[in-house]
Amino acid sequence: MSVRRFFCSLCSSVAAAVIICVPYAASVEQKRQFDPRDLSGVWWVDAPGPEKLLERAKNGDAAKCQTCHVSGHTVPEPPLTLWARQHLMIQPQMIQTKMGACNPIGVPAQFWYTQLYPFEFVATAGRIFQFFEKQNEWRVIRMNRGHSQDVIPTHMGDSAGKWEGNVLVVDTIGYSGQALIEPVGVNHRMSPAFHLVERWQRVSANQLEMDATYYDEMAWGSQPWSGLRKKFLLQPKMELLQTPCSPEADKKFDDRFVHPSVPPL
Amino acid sequence: MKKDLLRSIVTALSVAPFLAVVSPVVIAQEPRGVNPAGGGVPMTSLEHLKAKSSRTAPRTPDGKPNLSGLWGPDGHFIIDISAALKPGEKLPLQPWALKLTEERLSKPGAKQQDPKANCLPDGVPREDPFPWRIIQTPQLIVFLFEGNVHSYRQIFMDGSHPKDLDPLWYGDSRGRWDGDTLVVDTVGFNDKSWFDGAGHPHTERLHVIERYRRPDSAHLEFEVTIDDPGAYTRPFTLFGHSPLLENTEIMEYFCVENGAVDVSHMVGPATVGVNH
Repeated sequence: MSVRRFFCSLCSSVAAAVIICVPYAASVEQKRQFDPRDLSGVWWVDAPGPEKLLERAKNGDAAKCQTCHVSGHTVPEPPLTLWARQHLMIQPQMIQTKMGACNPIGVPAQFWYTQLYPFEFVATAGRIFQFFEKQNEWRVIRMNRGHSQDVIPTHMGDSAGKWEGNVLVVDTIGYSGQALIEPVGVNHRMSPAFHLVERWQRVSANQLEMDATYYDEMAWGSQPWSGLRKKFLLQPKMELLQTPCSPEADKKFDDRFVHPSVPPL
Repeated sequence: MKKDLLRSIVTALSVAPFLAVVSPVVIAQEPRGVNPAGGGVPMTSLEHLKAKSSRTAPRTPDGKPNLSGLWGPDGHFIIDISAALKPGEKLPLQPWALKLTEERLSKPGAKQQDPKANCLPDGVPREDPFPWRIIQTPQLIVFLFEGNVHSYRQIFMDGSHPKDLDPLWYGDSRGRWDGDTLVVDTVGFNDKSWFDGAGHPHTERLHVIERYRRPDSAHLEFEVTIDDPGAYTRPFTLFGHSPLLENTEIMEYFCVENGAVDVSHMVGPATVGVNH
């Protein structure tokens, strides 16, 4: 056997092994034992991924990155009511100002940031906490209690959770109406009538999926905005970083993604 | 009823001198009942929420003491940590640190330089006059803060400090159990936070070891050993305790809503009443 033939044979064997083993390994991973009601752990969106956004910034394409609408919507936003067009609109530069001033983000806007920052679920008796790395915000989902009668309007809203089979359904109302729905691609804020319904499902040991629907009668009438879908991968060795909102933290973010002329940190 | 009224009066009188030295912004944020705009629940409002039970401290399924719960603040860690020393002890400040603290206590407008006044994190071991919550799992313990910054501090239970730490507000905290005591070792601090309202400083050489115990269901005791050879001549230990709070929750309080406006009004020096 010539050296060339031997080398080709070796390559073919390796390729065959890869072709056979990689899907097998993936399949094994998919079937690994897991508790579908245990969402604990650090999760990060699997696409497009922060690496891609950082790569765009390095290539001087940050402007596109900031305007591309990659939030995961599968259907377009319903038309705004006349009242919403008169009362809820925000100029793009105002959105930047609100974010730059470290205003609270809340949900669902935090879901947009999962492209850049991971989050973590921690379950305790009667509560599931969700920790966001972006600005180190957190929220509590109170389980099996519904909403209290006297919900105080807040940025985060009041989140009530329950299990429907193996799907965690989180219903959030009680918004102050000051928060952005998303920092990019939605040019208006929510109204106090905003109502968020999320459905979280752990579909495998390392995969988590979320499907969210927005309701806001003052903004969209009776038509909901459904179809926000996101997929997340478990990050077993990842720890959330300290990123409290401060001028420093914002500058670091700007340097990396908003002003790509500055070398990435 | 008379008994309750008497207790309320005694409580109010005992808290009044303490409140007199709390920063103006804290007093300004005190709501009458529920404040829809947020702003936290000041500690005067917490008296009736303190748990009275002295049952045995609960344990987690793996047998560890369960520190989970909503806890009230310890005032010494808000205003002046020297009050948390053993009786008769003084803070072993190096000359430059003493001078800086005195400047902060005397210079008009010094309060504006307080990170807390700028809605930045408190660092360790500073507290706020608001409730805080411990969330405990075997791998991770989280301290949730209602304010000053509505955020969280993580204590990782499964590893040692990483190398090449970036200086951070809360540092890098790693925990372990020493019997029934949670021991938290923290390094990697930045040098920006103040230890308290009096403006006691520290450097990036700060190393903090906290020891938390729950002697019964309603109380949390803790010791905080500060070792900062950059600002203090020797390590020293602070002692504190927190009451369990019942029938309440952490409110949503984002400092940025108030602080960005309030800071320009802080024309005074740092909080007075320091025992050097």
